[in-house]
Amino acid sequence: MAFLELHGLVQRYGPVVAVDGVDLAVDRGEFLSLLGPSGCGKSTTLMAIAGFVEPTAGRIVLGGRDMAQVKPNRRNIGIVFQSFALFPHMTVAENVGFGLEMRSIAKAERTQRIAETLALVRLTELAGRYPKQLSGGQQQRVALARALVIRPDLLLLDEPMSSLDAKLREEMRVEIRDIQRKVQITTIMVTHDQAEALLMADRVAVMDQGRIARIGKPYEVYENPGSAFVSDFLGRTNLLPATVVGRSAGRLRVKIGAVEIDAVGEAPDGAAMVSLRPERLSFAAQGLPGTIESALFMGGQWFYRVATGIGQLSVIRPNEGGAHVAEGGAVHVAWPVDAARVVQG
Amino acid sequence: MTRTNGPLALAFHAVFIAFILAPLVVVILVAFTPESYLSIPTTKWSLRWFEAIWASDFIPAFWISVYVACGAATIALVVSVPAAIATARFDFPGRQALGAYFLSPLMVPHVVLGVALLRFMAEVGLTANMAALIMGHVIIVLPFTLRLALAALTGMNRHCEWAAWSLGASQWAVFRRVTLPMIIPGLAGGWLLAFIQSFDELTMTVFVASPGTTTLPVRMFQYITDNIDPMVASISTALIVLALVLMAVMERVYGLERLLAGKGEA
Repeated sequence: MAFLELHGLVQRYGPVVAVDGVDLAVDRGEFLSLLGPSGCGKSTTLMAIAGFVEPTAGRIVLGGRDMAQVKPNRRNIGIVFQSFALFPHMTVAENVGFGLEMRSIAKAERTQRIAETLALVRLTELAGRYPKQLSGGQQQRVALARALVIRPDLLLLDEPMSSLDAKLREEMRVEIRDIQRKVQITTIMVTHDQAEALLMADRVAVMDQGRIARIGKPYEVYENPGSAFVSDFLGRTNLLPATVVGRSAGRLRVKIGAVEIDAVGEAPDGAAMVSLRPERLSFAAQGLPGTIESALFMGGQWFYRVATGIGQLSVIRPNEGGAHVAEGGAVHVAWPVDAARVVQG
Repeated sequence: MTRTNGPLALAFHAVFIAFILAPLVVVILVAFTPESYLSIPTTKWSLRWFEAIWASDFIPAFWISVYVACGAATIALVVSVPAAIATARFDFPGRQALGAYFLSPLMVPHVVLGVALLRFMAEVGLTANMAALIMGHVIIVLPFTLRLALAALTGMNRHCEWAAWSLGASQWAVFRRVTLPMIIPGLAGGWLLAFIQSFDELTMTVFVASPGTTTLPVRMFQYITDNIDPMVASISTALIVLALVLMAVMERVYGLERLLAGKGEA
């Protein structure tokens, strides 16, 4: 039995179905990311786990206990909001100590645990400051400390990085992940940022229209997305409408326009989509002939758009110094067979 | 980005400001004249009418006004907070109607309210009663405290309450430790507006005031119907000075804009 289980969770607001039957099992100590575009139901799922909204149907079981009758203040869950939601009239130490105070923990132990947790998030010197005197990154660390100090059974992160600037976001991703590993707390993070989810989580669950479209280890989900939606949402991809025309030795034969190629995946004969990740494509002596329409320099990479017989393809090549292929140049695009993956439209 | 005003705009602003200030200037000037009639322009100046205030019955009337305004503003605030929480935080049938009902005194002319209250109080035997006067004022100032309480509640970050709740706080602890401190600036602004509104109220009060409950505006109104001397002008001037001092103190301590805009802490 998993540590946290959702069974057929449904959340309706009048005629709007925000969450439409989510089943989920999270193991103790696991870091799971709920990933999806806005309105896919990921935040609502998180709020239902925290207890702020009452599910229309379904069950939430945490540590073997059904949460239906348990109010948020009795669930022992730590939560970090997108806005951080720090108490503006309390100092950093008072913010962090709030949960301990509510648990009637003695002053001496409280002081010690506040100090420990502030040390964990590297904020010891700022204990006496007020939230508005802190930078965005510091505020977020206070919010994290406030959630962790109560030693919750479960840590919920609701878009924790989206109000930070790009540079800080990258630092905080690594920092939060390290802290999570260190205290080994079961964590669910909601995000719309696929890079964040892939980098931080042990498993990602991609949500679409109130359901989980795909769940698995980041690498597996990325490589084998299953559906066109997931492959497009996770990273960049070239999605090409195709027809499955035959199969042999575990491979599919698909026809894209007038071109027939081999692909991997499972699909019945007939219409399907083929996903070609741009970073798996390369230029070679032989392959699909094409013309470079544009070559965009992105620092670490070159981003090409190539007109070919199966449509326009995005190609990403690492910048290895030296010459790149110029716009208007004739090329041959090649890829390993397993890079062409049949997905469901 | 600031743009400089053109000459026409400047002239307009100058005239507008003069239009607002001119009556006040005249009142202040009259207050310093020695004659027992209104004489402007004058050549002689005197503090005679300020000295006269102390011996007059305007002083008790002033304290009655302060008492009524404090009482009405405080009662209205205490009633407003739960009402604002109910209408801002919960969804229930009749929520909109209730909100509109609480604000409806704004739409009832004070004259109508005065006549109605006079009749009502006579009927239930509450004439010349301080509590009854305060309750009448509560009706008038309630929309002000309620509006600012509502603005403060809807302006605050809801997630702060949720965060406190999930940290183990009961609903009451959430209110006392998080919600209330965060909306206090808005509540203080509402209380202040209510106090001013009540202190200033004449139209309704003149109907229900009796010898024991004569507020300052009512007393001034009565006085000016019988006398034409600068007494009322000197009282007005004293009130203007008092208001300026209060505003200066509050600006120093708190920031008036923050108070009257009804914003919570950012």
